[in-house]
Amino acid sequence: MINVVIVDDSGTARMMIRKCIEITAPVEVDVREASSGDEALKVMKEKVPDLLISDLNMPGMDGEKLLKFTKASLKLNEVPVIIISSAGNPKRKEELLSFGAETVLQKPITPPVLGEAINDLITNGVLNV
Amino acid sequence: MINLKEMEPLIFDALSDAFENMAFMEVNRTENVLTEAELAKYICSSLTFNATFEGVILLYLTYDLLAQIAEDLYSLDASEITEQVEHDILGEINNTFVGEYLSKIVPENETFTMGLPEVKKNDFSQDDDGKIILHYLVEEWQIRVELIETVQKN
Repeated sequence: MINVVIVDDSGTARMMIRKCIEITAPVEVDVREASSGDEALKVMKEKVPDLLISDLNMPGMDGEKLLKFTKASLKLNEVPVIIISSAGNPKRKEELLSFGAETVLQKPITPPVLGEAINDLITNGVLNV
Repeated sequence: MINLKEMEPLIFDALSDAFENMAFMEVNRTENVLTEAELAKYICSSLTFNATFEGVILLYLTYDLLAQIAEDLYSLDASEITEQVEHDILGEINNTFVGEYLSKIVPENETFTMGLPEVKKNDFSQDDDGKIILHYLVEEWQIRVELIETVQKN
């Protein structure tokens, strides 16, 4: 089983990501949701997840700040992070990867796209199942 | 000043990418212009951006189209399609559309920023000055796109 935290300010977007994971994940998935970066940090500190999937563009603590907090935290820094972004230009993607994101996916997210990203993390030993 | 001839194909491509990838829906150009009475039935998502120029993109859709997308894309029953769900879907589509559009106009070695989508109902400005207004068909549903340049960069 993998323990995943999904972060997006849109409840509908979280539902879509959850469905994509449930369809494509090769193992059983336990999903927890957060509607902001601040809430995600609280949720992750309660129980450290195996994977964090976060939207980039959110009010309050956005995906970039959440990524930086996660990677700077002694407790959370080994959690692999997938960032989902509408702003898909290569420079921005490079920046997010340099901040520690394992993968940056451009919207819209579909089951094959998210499934491939998760499978790559498993194959590369970043995500242990 | 925005050059319509240069921008329209990029807007069309970005809109097509967004709707085809998110909802498997085809986008076509139309010459038909929405009247004020027709536009009153629409809901709009407004999104600011800072790229090669600062601007706002407004995307106008009908609730019928949003409900169809909710049903097709999210497999929701009619009872599950609340106004909030429709607003979220509209915001997601506009976010994806503007992201696709800016990716086409911003050089690869530069970045751009986008605001958060805001939903507007019944407070549409009829002032057409300084706007590019475009009409498209998503399957059989007509939609409207407005592109407004707020700050011109040198």
